[in-house]
Amino acid sequence: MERTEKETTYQETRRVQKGDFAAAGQISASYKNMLKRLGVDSKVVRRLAIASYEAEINLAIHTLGGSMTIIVYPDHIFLVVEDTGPGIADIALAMQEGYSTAPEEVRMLGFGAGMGLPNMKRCSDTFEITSELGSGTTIRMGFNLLN
Amino acid sequence: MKVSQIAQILRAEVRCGEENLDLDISYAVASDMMSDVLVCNDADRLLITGLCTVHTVLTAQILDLRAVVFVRSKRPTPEMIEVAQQNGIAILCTDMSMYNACGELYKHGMKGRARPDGTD
Ligand SMILES: Nc1ncnc2c1ncn2[C@@H]1O[C@H](COP(=O)(O)OP(=O)(O)OP(=O)(O)O)[C@@H](O)[C@H]1O
Ligand SMILES: [Mg+2]
Repeated sequence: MERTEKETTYQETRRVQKGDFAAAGQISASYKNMLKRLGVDSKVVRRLAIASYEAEINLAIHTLGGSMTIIVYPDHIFLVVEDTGPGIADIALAMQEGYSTAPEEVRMLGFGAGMGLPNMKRCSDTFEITSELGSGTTIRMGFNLLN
Repeated sequence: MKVSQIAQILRAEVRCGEENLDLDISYAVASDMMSDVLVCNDADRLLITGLCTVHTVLTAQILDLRAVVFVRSKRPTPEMIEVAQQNGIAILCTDMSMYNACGELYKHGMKGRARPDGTD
C-alpha cells in the first residue's frame, strides 16, 4: 500500500561510524525514549530496541559505516539499516546462531556470539536482508503497532 | 525475590537505584556476553555479570531490566552509574565470584531465564 508523507508520525536518519563501538547503542537508546514518549506499547518498544541495538552494534563492529533510519507510521514502524560494505558473502550462514567473525577484542567487550542477526529476525514482525560483497548490506525490519 | 534480599544474600553494596530495593524480580541471567543476554526479551530478570562496561548498563536499559549485579569486585565508573540512575537501574556490587553468586541465589529459589522461549 502506498503511504503518503502525511501519515508519517516521525522519521529520522542517523549515521554510525566505522569502529565507533564506544557510541554504539546511543541511537537505539534514543529510539526507546522517543517511542515511549509517543505512547507505543512497552513490549513493542523493547523488541524494537533490541533489534535496533543489535543492528547498531553490527554497524560499528562489522562495517565500513552506515546509517539507521526509523519511520513511525500510525500502525507500524520501519527500521532500515544500511551500510557501505564489506557485504556478507553467505547470508544463510551469517543468520545461523553462533556464527561470528567478530575479533577477540569485540568478544572481550561482551559481543560477538553470533546471535545478533537471528535475534533481529526474532524481535521484528517482518525482516528482510540483502547484501552484496563490495557494496554493502541493507536490513529492513517492520514492527506492527496494532494486533 | 526482592532486590533488597538479593543484595543481602550476595552481601552486595547498592551503588545506585535504592528506589528499586522493594521491587520483585522473578528470574536471573548470568553472562559476560551481552549478546547472550539479549537473546531473551523478558524484562523481569536480574543480570549477573563480570563485564563492567557502559554497554552492560546500556544492555540493561535496552532490555528494561531493573537491577544488575557486578561480581568479583568490579567497580562501575561514574558514567555507568549516571546512565543507570537515569534509567532506573539498580547497580549492586559483590565480592563473590560469578559461580558463588549464582549458586547462592539459586539456593534461595531464584531460577534462570535466558532463552527466547522463556525457559532457562
Ligand atoms: N552489516 C554487516 N556487514 C558485514 N558482515 C556482517 C554484517 N552483519 C553481520 N555480519 C556478519 O555476520 C556475522 C553474524 O552476525 P551476528 O550479528 O549474528 O553476530 P555477531 O555480530 O558476530 O555477534 P553478536 O551479534 O552475537 O554480538 C558477523 O560475525 C559478521 O561476520
Ligand atoms: Mg551482531
